[in-house]
Amino acid sequence: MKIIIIGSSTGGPYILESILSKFPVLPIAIILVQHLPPAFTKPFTAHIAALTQMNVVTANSEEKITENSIYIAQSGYHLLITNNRVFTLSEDVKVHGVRPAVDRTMLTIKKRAGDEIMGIILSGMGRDGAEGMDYLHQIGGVTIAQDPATSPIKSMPQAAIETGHVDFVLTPEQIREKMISFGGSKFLMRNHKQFNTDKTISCTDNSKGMIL
Amino acid sequence: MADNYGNVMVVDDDAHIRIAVQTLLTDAGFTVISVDSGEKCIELLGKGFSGLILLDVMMPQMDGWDTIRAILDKGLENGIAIIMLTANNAPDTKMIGLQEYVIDYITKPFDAEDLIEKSKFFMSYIENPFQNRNDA
Repeated sequence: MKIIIIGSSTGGPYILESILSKFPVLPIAIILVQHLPPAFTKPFTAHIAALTQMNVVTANSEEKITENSIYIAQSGYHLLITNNRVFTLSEDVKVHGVRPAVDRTMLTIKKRAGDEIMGIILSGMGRDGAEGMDYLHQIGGVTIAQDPATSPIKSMPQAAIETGHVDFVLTPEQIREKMISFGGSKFLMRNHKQFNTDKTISCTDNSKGMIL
Repeated sequence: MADNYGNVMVVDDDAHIRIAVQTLLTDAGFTVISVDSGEKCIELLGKGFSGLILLDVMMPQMDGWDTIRAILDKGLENGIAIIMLTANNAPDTKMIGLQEYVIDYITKPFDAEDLIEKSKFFMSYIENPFQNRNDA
């Protein structure tokens, strides 16, 4: 299964609208960890659902992860993943001052045969997601940070970039293209010898070789 | 009938900013009230204000972050969405722990169309941005 985890905070909801607007139905699972006040989980989910024909739901405990779906982390709960397939909600202490924390979700992903992982960090204050992105990179996932120049608040993507393990630094439009390429490609392996040859996308490419 | 996109509270100690934002958003179809301090923002929330808050960061006495902490301490966070409107494009680390309650961040000088669009966009997150919560 192809799984994309997007971590996002202040400034993120407006950016996600541009990334997911008319997003095609693809055989991938997208997990959105957006820092929000509790009352906004429902309207945020409704906003995302209005953008795409993908199945959009608020993630619940024991819910199985399936393709063609976008899962929204609930405010007030860390969103943990077992065996890359099942969600668990946790009321453990806040991490980086937030719950859900992007790091908590990303760090529960496992390297599993047949699974391909992409991690993305958008606008936000602090360094939530940096450790998770570093980890996803270590287990072979593709990591993307929003270009800080396009980010209302730069520190979250900047912290991820400073780990040295971000493959791409991209604008929201370019992130959308990468997600679609990822979802539509036959396979993806970081460190593969072939390079992405899509010259229409101008981006900072820190990868050593990638098929997208 | 004129558009009514909902209530906006502008909180800024700079009178020029308050007048500019209030004029802009009133003309765009919002119902706008402005105050010059975090303390007055808290007071209006206590009276039941519901809607979007455009909150300056750097204000004397109670700054924007202290204002949000006071909102949370008093349990006044329901029925509002907060956008920081600030001259500081490098957010203070005082924001850590408050990220969940700041939905967007606009740097002054701001783009008028961007402010209107974001105000409309985030108004839709608020359950009832037209009514005083105490009247509901």
